[in-house]
Amino acid sequence: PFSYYDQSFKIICNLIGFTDSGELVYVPVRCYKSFYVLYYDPERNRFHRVEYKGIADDESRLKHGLVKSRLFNIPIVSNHMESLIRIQATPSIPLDVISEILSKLPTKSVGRFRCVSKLWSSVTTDPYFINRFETQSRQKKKVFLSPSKE
Amino acid sequence: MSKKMIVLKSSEGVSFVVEEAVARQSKIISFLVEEFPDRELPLTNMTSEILRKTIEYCKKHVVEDDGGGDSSSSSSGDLKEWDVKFVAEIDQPRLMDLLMAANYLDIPSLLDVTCQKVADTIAACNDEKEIRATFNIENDFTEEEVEAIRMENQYPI
Repeated sequence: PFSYYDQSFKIICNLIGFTDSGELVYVPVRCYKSFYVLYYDPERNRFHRVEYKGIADDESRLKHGLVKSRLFNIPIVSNHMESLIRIQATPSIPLDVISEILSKLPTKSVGRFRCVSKLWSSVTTDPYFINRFETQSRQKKKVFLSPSKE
Repeated sequence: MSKKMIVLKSSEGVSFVVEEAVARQSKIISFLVEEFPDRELPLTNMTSEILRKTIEYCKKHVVEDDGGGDSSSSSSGDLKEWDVKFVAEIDQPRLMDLLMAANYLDIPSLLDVTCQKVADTIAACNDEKEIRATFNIENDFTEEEVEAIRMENQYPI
């Protein structure tokens, strides 16, 4: 879908790009003094709505002589968009620390911690992790580390 | 040689006066004292309690490092024992805070012991439900997805 109709605000949003984390970014066709940008996370099938309030409206711009004419549209460039996933991940435990912790676990529990969450699953199926994990537990018995592919 | 002291300030604004050698075990503080000598270093993301714990760890390790001379196996064994006891006394949420502090301040040995303790806690859990409950992790898998992962990993239920 290249456009998305926001039910609650009755605005049409266009797909303008995606972030490094893979979210799709939708921006309203017209942006006024405050506007919303929608982030769609395809993995979790979730939308996040972020309100931008930081742009001065037409009246104050005219009053302060910032612009001569009224502002109708704000050009949006997708690579100036911050990723929401990245912002949310910052205060919690960094991925490399999670990887560090999980690499210290006994090999037999690998299946158990892959079931915990998608994050843990993605950390523990990462080739770098598998490599490190196998090095650390080289002496131990046969492990099922590489996920089987159909 | 007179011991140079530096001041670290916690998120509550409490100041801790620490010997420079102690604080320098953090690579970040080591860098900061060189860049900003004679200045209080604000650690706004660390509570007094966590900062106190971190300093306690650093103090213990700095004494062992230069006091022992040639580090005999018994003294490093004692230090390991001390580390185990040190993390064993901390409850789960504080342990995570201490781990984050070690990561932020870049104290590799403290990060290692805290990570090991968390790993031990995870290993002691019976199943993924217990792990989620212990660490307050949201289950974002469907029942089918969990089943698929179990099949892939030969994980007995």
